[in-house]
Amino acid sequence: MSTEKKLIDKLTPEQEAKIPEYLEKYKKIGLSTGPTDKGKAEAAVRRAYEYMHKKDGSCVPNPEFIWEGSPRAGQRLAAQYAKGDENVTTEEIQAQASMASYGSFEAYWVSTYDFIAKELPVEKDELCDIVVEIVETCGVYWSFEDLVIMTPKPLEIHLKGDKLHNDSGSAMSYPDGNCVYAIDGEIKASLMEIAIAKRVSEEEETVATGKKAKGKAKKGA
Amino acid sequence: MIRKRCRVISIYHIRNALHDTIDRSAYSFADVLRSKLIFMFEIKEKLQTGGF
Repeated sequence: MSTEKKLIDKLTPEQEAKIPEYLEKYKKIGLSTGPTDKGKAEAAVRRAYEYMHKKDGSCVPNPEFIWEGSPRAGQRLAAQYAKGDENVTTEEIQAQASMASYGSFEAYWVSTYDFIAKELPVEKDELCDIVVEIVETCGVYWSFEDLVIMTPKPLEIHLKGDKLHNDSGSAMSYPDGNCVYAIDGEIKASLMEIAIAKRVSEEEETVATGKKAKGKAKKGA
Repeated sequence: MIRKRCRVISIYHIRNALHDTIDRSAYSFADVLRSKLIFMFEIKEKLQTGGF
């Protein structure tokens, strides 16, 4: 008798029909804003630590949690904690952005695995549910062996189409007053940079309109 | 003292948690979800490179 596992290699029509439901659910999670339930967020991350502790002992089962008011504040603390020194450079702080876990912003890939775990007849363990809980409840966070630096979800997210955008204020804002500025998906350092980008774009538009009008006039002559 | 980081969740861990009961080459059938939510990846990427 063969002991080879039978792998799933296609979806049934019923399974395919469930995809829009997951798409909607994860769009909502990824763009969710508002007050973060700190208790629920910590419980979700603690479950992940317990899981990893059991799995490979790479972390403690019950880490300490520290909350900051925004990812910007969180990344400074993460840089300080990682270095074990309060004095950190701007580069060391900025480097934390690529070392963070993005909580609700990870919804785009978690959607696929949640669908697989819930809708397909697969063998799975509790990690699939833990990960869903994390994206549902957490903002950006930094995980160390024994400590997690947590930050809330944004209070607001402004998009133009699918890109971060606000040409008259912040594209994302956080409870501690820190903001992310962006135009057409490009992150800007300040509202001043937004104003400059807007001005440049308006000037370019004026030049382009002028050229078109000149061209039409020439044709008409 | 350099503090050790701990990646508590990743795609690698999730795939292991599914115990290989799905054909790795066939993840694409559910990947339609990820492709339709790719704008979230782009937001995350911009924050990663442009900072907070």
